[in-house]
Amino acid sequence: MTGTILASVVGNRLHAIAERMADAMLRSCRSAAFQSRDFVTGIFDADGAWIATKDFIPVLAGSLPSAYEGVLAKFAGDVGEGDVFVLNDPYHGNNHPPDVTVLKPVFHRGVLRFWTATKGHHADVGGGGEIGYNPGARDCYEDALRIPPVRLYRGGERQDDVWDLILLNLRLRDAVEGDLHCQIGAASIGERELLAMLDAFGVEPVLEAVRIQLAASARHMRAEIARWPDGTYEAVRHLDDGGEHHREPIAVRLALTVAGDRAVFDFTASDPQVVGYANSTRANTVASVLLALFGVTDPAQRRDGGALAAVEIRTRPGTITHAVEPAATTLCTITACEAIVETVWLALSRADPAITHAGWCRGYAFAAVGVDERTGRAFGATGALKGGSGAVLGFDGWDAIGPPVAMGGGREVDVELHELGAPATVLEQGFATDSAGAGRWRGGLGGFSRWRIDQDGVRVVCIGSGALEQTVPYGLAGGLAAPANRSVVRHRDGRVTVPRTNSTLVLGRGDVIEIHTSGGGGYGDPRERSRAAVRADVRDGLVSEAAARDVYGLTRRVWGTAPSQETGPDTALTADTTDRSIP
Amino acid sequence: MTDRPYRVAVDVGGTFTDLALLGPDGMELDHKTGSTPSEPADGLVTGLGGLAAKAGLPLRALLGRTGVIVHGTTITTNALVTGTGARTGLLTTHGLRDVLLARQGARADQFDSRSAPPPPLVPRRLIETARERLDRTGEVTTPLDEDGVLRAARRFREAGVASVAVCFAFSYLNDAHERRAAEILAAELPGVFLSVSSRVAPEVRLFERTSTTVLNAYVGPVLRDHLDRLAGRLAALGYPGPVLIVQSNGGVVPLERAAERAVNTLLSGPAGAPAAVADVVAELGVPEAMAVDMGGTSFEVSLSSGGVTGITTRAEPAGHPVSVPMLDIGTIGAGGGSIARATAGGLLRVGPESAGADPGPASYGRGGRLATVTDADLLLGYLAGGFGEGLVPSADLAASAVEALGRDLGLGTVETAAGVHRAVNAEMADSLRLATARHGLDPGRLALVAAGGAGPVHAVELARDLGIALVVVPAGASVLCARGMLRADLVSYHVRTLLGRGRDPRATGVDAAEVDAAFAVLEGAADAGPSVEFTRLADVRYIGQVHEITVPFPAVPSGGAAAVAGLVERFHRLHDRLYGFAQPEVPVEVVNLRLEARTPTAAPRSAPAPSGPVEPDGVRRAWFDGAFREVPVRSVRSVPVDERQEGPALLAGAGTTIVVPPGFAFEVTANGTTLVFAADRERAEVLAALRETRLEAVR
Repeated sequence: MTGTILASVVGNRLHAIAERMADAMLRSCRSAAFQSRDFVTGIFDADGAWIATKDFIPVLAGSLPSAYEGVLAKFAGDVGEGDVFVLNDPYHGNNHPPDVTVLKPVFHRGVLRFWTATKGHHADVGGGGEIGYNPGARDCYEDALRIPPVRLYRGGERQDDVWDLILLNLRLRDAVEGDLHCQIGAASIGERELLAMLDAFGVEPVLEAVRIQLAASARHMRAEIARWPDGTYEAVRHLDDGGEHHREPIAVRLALTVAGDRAVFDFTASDPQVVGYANSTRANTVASVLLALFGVTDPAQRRDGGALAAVEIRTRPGTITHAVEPAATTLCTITACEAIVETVWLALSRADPAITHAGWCRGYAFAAVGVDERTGRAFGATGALKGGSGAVLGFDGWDAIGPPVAMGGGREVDVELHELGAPATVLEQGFATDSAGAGRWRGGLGGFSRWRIDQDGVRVVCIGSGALEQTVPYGLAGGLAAPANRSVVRHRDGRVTVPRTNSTLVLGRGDVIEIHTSGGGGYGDPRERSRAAVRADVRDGLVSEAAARDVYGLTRRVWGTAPSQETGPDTALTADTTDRSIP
Repeated sequence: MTDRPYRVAVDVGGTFTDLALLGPDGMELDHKTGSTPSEPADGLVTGLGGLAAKAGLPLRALLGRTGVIVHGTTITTNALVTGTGARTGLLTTHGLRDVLLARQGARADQFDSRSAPPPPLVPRRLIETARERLDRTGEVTTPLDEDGVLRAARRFREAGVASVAVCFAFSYLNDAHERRAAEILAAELPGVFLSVSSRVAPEVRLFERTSTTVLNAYVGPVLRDHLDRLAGRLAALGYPGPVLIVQSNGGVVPLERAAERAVNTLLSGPAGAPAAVADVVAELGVPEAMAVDMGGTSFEVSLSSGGVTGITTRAEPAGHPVSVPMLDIGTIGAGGGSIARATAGGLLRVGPESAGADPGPASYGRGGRLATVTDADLLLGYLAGGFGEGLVPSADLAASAVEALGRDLGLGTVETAAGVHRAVNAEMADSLRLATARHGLDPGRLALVAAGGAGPVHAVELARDLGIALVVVPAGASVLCARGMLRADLVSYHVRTLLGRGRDPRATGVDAAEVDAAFAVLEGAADAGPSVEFTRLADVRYIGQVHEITVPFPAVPSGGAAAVAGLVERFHRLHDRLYGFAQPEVPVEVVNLRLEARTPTAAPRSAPAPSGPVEPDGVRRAWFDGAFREVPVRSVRSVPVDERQEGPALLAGAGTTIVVPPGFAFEVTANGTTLVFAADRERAEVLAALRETRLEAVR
């Protein structure tokens, strides 16, 4: 078999192994976060090249290489068969603390050949946060429990002292323990499959195939970049704030230089890091650029270290895109990632809007944590329909697909499973009329959710951004921006309060949170949208008659089946706060 | 039965209608005819005529002596794929109108933004809601607003819907609101097909249940109308007997009961294969097998263990989740028509795009210019026949397409063709590894049964990749499904969700009394005759886990606590094998109980009479081990029975070629089944090793 063919075959096999690991995780996980696929898998070769991944949440994948380097920095030369390493500390290679990374070396006939990696967002990582997020954190100590690279298994034996040290610091220890098992189990499955592959093909042919694959990935990415017009393109996007201790917008500034098949992403002019949990580590910035790239290049491009090697990313220590110790960082995979992705896409639009996307919704989530009075078990849950994606030339955005962080790889927890697992009720969850940015191709729709808390004393964090004029999803090529994320809390006693983004609330039984999430931005002049498509949107209740007339320029009324119900409070349900489900 | 000794199977596909006839002494005949998509019953009746002619009987005489007709149909699948199902409305719980359309916010091909989601089966304007609510224990917290249901009915009538799905939150625990809503809709909308979630798919997960119920509504009227017409045609031909409809779970149900659960026929065609495989493995006496069916556009795999086929409740035909039990038929876009291309990075990529039947592979000369798997196979000399009627593929056209691909890859033409063959085999092997791993099976311990036009061309190399010791190609592999249908059992599945049902929410572990009571309910609902065989299954997980493993209850004579203990022990063991860990210290919970009610068929085993012409033997040049060599071409029927032969060889059978590379041996059994295995082993030895395999699998 020629090298090219072998590289194609081995590359597919490596990808299949990464998928098999992810499949095992999906089917054996515990937490709501893992259930919504907030995890990735990866494979490294013995030289540390990142060679395969299953990236349900791509922002976690692009930072796998730095986690590997973190383990190597401490354990190079001291790695044995049957070892398992774990880390979460952002200043030892990890992207941010909630995404705990597990790495397992793979020895074939006594020689280290590969590493398998699994990484997922845990339900609890200590600190003062809920589901890993502490809007009140001033530094990395208040952010989360810090786990530097440590050896969790030695020669196949679990190091119970380390295991207990980690779990003792967590309120949701059962979920975390289950999900750690799930990660380690998947890493072992990957190991088993890699060994079978080495036996089948032989070591040397596999290593040769891996080299060819990495070179091909780099070539593929360069070929994609070469299609962009040369030039330097600038863009600025903002985070709404940095947490409770920094209530000002923060700028991410990018100068993108394209020259032939080279691209340099220069973020050095970005704002300084802040006191608060929104800072991005360099690992997270790299991962964000990579996902932005994959979002605008050939979907068949392999997402591995070869592609990463094809671009240069410049950051300056001490800035919002390259935080240094002791900055807090737990929010960085959401808001900072989105701002970084937006700068890349917006800068590219200045080269040619046809390459790229209108703005996607920003992450804007409410997460509740506590102990369920009905079951005595800890729970963690979120309660809003996600926002929509930005339109591209030729296609509307996707509805409720969530922020670019996941590129649609996440999956909402089912309404019934949500209510069985947490003391909360989804009263309403659906698309909101006119929530998408208008355009010849409109954005995907945003959501409207009404989420009732069914027991007292539940801590709820509101995290994310996109609530300011300057952070809503932007339109492209004449397309319009989408409305902002926003919410109110209707308390059981009749009070109505507006939660501040990036803050923690304590809610009680019968309190209802109403959440509007942004749709995506539009692409192209809305007046050029197909009239049939506008009419269909009106009939489906997705675009109002007023917007059809005023924004899309529809001159004739739409006849046909109007939607039978509007979104909005259902008074019967709101009034019903006697929760019969609690014994 | 003796005056009606024949069984007839009719498998109506999109292109061909396959028929098989089983006579009183195990004699089998088959017949293939073109399908008539605009009126499938036409092609079916024409096919019956052809089958009767082969049996030497007038059609009426054959039907007069036929005891049962088994019918598989792709009519519902076609309606789904082509978007030609019924105009459907959905009635759901107020506030949850968009659960179906939001698709849980997921996109299968994450990075492909230049694409649109699968078109919804119900447009949003036809999704109505009614105020009603049950809590997580099934208690009513908001009574059903019957006026709201009436308003919805009015809108459905105005919109001219032919079908309505009803799905309310937590209705699997309490169907009162759905039942009442269905009563009102039935009275208001006479003649409209109703699909109610608590009847169609009564288990937890609102999104999947809604999707399943809507799919059922969408294809239900299509199936109902087809079966009505078919029953009329058969009656007019004087056939008074039963017609059984093949289900996605591999079993059959009487025609009269098929339409109400039309969603159960979405795999009705391919669902025949496992029964045929079961027949083959019974002939050989091996317990475990995996069937692969590689046709023009897709590669399908199904698993059979101990005569029982792998089942899933997580299928997604055409991107729409279905939560009723279906055969776990994994499909990837790898077939003879799969297009091979070079990536911008210079690597080879085969599929998932397919040239299909039109334009088809470059060698078919119908305008296809891109190299496909068939073109590569042709250049390598592997295709010794088995093309459609009157088709003579052009090696020149194949060569120029493959040569162009080779230029992009920097490879010569033959190297490229060998690479395409190798790469598609590897892709299929990767998908088989995942399919078997999900059931806790090791592919190296299974026999591989190959079918479809392209399956036997690739099967031996595929087996080599997977460490499989035996490849089996049944006679009549091209009408495998129809042959399988002759022997399909009556099967029904029944499910009861325990999660959230009535018990103390703080309790942990599995309550044997609760399990026994639930199975008593399910067995009552199964409404089965005396020869029924029940299989009890449970969807088990660790407390707090999200997904379950479907574990068969061990056969414990005393039942009760001992059965539950055995189940839990089995769960820990399977969990470790599937996911690389177990937590025996953590309590488990049962989400759903499932009951399979199977009434075995009375059909005799096959003893096929020889049919069709023996093609003359010859030689051709074929590519093995890096060189072209002269390879004998033989007709399967010319190979002496039970006599060991050595590869390399190309065996021409009906509609396909079995490629036997050097280093492999083959034998043909008295039933016309071809066995291929490594040349350094004996048939008896290979079979003996497989017979010892007893795998503990999940379903």
